[in-house]
Amino acid sequence: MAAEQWFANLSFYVVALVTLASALGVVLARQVIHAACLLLPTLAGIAALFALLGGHLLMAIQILVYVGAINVLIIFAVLLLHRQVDRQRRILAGTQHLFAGVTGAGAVTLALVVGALFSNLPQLVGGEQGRFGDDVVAGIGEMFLTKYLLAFELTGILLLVTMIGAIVLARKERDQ
Amino acid sequence: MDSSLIFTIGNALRTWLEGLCRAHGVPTLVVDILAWGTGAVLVVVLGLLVALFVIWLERKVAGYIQTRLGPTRVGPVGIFQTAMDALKILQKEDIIPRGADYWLHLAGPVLYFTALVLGFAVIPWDVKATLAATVDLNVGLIYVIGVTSVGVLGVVMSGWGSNNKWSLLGAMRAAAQIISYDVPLLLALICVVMVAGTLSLTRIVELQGSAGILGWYVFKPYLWLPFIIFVICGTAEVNRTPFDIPEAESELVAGFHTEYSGMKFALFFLTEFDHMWFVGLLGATLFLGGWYSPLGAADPIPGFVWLMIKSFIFVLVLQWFRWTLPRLRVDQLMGLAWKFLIPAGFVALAIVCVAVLFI
Amino acid sequence: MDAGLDMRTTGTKSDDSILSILRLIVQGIVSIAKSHWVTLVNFWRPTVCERYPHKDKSLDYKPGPGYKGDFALITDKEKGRLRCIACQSCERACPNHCIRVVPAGKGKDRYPAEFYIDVGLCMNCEICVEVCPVDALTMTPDYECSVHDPRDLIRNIKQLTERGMEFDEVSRVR
Repeated sequence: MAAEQWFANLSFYVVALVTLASALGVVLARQVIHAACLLLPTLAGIAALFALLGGHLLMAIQILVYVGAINVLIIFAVLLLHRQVDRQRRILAGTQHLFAGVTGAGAVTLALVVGALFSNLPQLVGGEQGRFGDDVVAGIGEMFLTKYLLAFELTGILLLVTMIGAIVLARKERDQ
Repeated sequence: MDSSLIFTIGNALRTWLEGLCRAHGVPTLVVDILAWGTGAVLVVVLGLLVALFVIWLERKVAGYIQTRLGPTRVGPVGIFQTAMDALKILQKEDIIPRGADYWLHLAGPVLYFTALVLGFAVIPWDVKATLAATVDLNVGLIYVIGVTSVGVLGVVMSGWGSNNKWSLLGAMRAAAQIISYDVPLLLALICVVMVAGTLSLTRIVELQGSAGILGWYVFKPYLWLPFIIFVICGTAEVNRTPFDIPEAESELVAGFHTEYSGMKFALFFLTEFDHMWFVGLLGATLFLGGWYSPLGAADPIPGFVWLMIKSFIFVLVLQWFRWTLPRLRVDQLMGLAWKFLIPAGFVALAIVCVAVLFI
Repeated sequence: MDAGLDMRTTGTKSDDSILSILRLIVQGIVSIAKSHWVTLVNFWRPTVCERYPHKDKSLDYKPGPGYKGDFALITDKEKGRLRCIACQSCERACPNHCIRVVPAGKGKDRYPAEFYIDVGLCMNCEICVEVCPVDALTMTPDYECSVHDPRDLIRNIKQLTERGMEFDEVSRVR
C-alpha cells in the first residue's frame, strides 16, 4: 500500500510540475505564440490531474473542450493578431512580471479560500450516487435530464445564440 | 495460437516476477508498472511497424491499381522497401529554415505523433484479460475524439514554425478541415453510442460480439448512414484524397510539412499512415465487432489478428479511395462538411433515436 | 447559390429544388461507384511491367532502326576498310565537341588513325550522322551503354568498328 501511495504522490508531483511550469511559461513567454502553445501542456496537465483524481469523464471533456477547441481557438486568434498583441506586450514589458506576481498571489489565495470552504465537498455533492454506481456518464446524463434539466436546456439555447451570433458576425455583407 | 495462451504466459510471468519482488523486499507495484510500461511500449512499437507495413501496402495497391508493380526489389515483394526508406531518412540532415521558430518547428511533428499514439491506449486489442496495454476507460470514445483534436495543434504549430507562407496556409486549411470534420464524426459516433448505451470501447466490442456476426453494428440498417458518415469523415480526418488539400502536392508543394526533412518528416509521414490505420481500428472496433471472430467462438486465430484484418479492410478501402477519386477543392471540402455531412449526421441521429426507442 | 455544393458542370439546369439536389446526389454516388469499379477491375489486371534487366517476361526488347543508341563506324565490306575518310565534318558539326578524329594518309587513302566519341557528352542529336558525306557514322539500337568508369564512355575506333560490323547502312528510319 505504501508503494501505491508513493507512486500516486510521485505522479501528482510530476503532473503538477509540468502544469505549473507551462503555466509560468504562458505568463512569462516573450512571444505570444509561445504563450498560446504552452497553454497546451497546462490544460493537458489539468486533465491529467482530473484523471489522477479518478474523474475520467472530466479528463476526457477537458481534453476535448479545452485543449481541442479552446486552445485551438486561442492559437488561431494569436496567429491572426499576434503583431498587434506583441506591440502591446512591449508597452507593458516592464510590468508583466508584476502582473504575473499579483495574479499568482491572488490565485493562490483564492484556491486556499475555496479549499477551506469546500473541504466538505464530498458530503455536499455525494448524495446522487446509487443507481449508476461507477458509470459516471450515465449518472450525469440522468441528472441532466431530471434534476438539472433547466440548466441543460438553457445552456443549449446559449450555445445556439452563440453560434448564430458568430455566423452573423462572420458573414460577408451582401453586395447591393 | 489462441489469445488465452498469451494470457497464461503473461500470468505466469507476472507471478514469477512478483515472487522475485517479494523475495528481495521490492514492492510488487514494480511489476505492475513494468507490465503497463511494456504494454505501452509494445503498442507504440506496433504502431510504428504497422505504419511501415501500411506504407508498403499503399505503394503496392497504388501500383496494381495503376497496372504496374510497385516496389519489387527490396525483399520478396518489396516488403522491406519502407524499412530501407526509413533507414535512408534517418541519415538525412534535419534542415530548419532560417527564421523558423525552433521550438514550434520541433513541437509540431512530436505533438502530431503523440496525439495519435495516445489514441492507441484505449483500443481493445483483444479480450480484456489478455493484454495489459489497454486502458478500459469508461469514457473511451470521448477520449479518442479529444485526443485526435490535439493533433490539430500539432499541424498548426508545424505550419507556423516553418516560416513559410505556403506551410501556414496548408496548416490553416488542415486545421480547418480537421475541426470541421470532427463534428459529423462525433455525430456518427454518438449514433453508435446510443445503440450501445456506453462510451467504453471494450464494452461496445463485447456488445457486438455476443450476438455472433450479425450482431456487428455494420449489419444493423439504422447504423448504415452513421457508418458511411464515419468512413467519409475518417478519410477527411487523415487528410487523404479526396480531402488532401492540405498536402496537395500540386498546389502547396507539401503543405504544412514542406519545410521538414529527415526524421521530423518521417514522423509526419508515419503519423499520417498510422492515423489511417487508427481510423481503421476505430471503425473495426465500433462497427465490425472489434476482436471478435466472424467464425464463432471456437476459432484458433487470436482476436488480435482478427482486429488487424478488420482494420486493414478499412485501410485498403481508404487507399482505394485515394487512387480513384480526384481531389476536392477546399471550399467544396468545407461545404461538404458543413452543408451536407452535418445535416446528414443529424438525420442519422434522428433515425437511430427512433430505432433505439422502438426496436 | 452556395459554392459548397456547386459541383455541377455548366450543362445542367440551375435548379435548387429538392428533387434536383437529390438527383445530383444520386448521380454523384453512381459516378463514384463506377470509378471505384474501374479501379477495382484494374487492380486485378495483369501488369504491363517488364522488369528490366531481369527480363522475366519473354519479351526481348530491342528497339527498331533509327533508335539513337551507341555509335558505330560502318565498314565497307567490299573494300575491306572503314567508310570514314577522316574529313572531320562530324567533329566540326558536333554541338558538344564530343568527337575527335586524327586523320592519316593522303588523298584517296585518307583514313582515321584515331576516332574518339565521348558518349557521355553526346546529346544524341545525330547531327554528326547527318553531315557525314560518306554515311560512315551511325547510331545503333544498342541502348545498354552503362559503364562503371566515366572514362570508359569515350569510345575508341576499335569499339566503334566492332559495333559497326553488323551494319551495312546507316541505321535510320526511312
